[in-house]
Amino acid sequence: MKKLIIAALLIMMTQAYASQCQCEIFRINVKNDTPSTCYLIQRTINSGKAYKLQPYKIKPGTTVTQFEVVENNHEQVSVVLTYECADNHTITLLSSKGRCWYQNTGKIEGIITKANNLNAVFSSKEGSYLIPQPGSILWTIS
Amino acid sequence: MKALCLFLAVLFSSVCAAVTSNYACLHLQIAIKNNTPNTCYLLTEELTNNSILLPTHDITFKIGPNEEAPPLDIRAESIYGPASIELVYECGEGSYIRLDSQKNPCGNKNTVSTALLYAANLSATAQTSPASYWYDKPAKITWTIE
Repeated sequence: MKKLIIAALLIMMTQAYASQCQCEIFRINVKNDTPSTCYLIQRTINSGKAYKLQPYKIKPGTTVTQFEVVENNHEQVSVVLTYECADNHTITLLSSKGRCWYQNTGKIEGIITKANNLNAVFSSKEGSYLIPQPGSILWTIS
Repeated sequence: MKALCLFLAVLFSSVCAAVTSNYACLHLQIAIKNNTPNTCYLLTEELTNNSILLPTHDITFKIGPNEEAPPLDIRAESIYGPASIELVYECGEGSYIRLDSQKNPCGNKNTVSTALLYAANLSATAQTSPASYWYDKPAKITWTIE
């Protein structure tokens, strides 16, 4: 009986840890809805650690997961990305996610800090600690 | 004998400090010159050997024609490990280049190695300068893309 309880506890602890790990991830997706190819020309990771990177060239009509950024020491994640989609067409996007922990799903925010002949909208999905799931944001540049 | 012990202690502590500190010998600085008529854009980056990229000296994503990007700075995880990174740039449609840059561990052989892993319609040359533990100097590589 004792062994069963220990095994159950171990499984619960492992699952809780896995949930926490998933929940700490912030996935930044970018869709290029312009007729030109977009290139990432600048990034600033204010907080968090980028651990998965994708090509920084986004062809027209395609979507890429540009970064997966994980919380550092359970702090919020904040990343600023600047894209260029043709000469004199640039846009700077700030994406952030609050700390994800138990019932706190980690609020996601997106701000266009600068735009030159481009626009962008975003949709987001908050992460979940209980159902292991990362937070994500999808920017559509047009 | 005391002096010898003291000397050894100082030497040992400085080596230990270097293992975990931000000692210059752990660093590799890489500058990229674009000598093509087109703008070069970074397509991918891959840090290898557990190297650490210093966010304050990030990679330059866009390098204009005849421009030299400020050097990026990577650090080896420890004094016993190398620091290395692979960068892919596109300079004009269909023109790509994949550059591998590595600094070997601090020590007697402070060598730097470079490799042109792939190139389409472009070429590149590298000028290197090794790191030095004793002179507190980082390794440096300047790539020129043509």
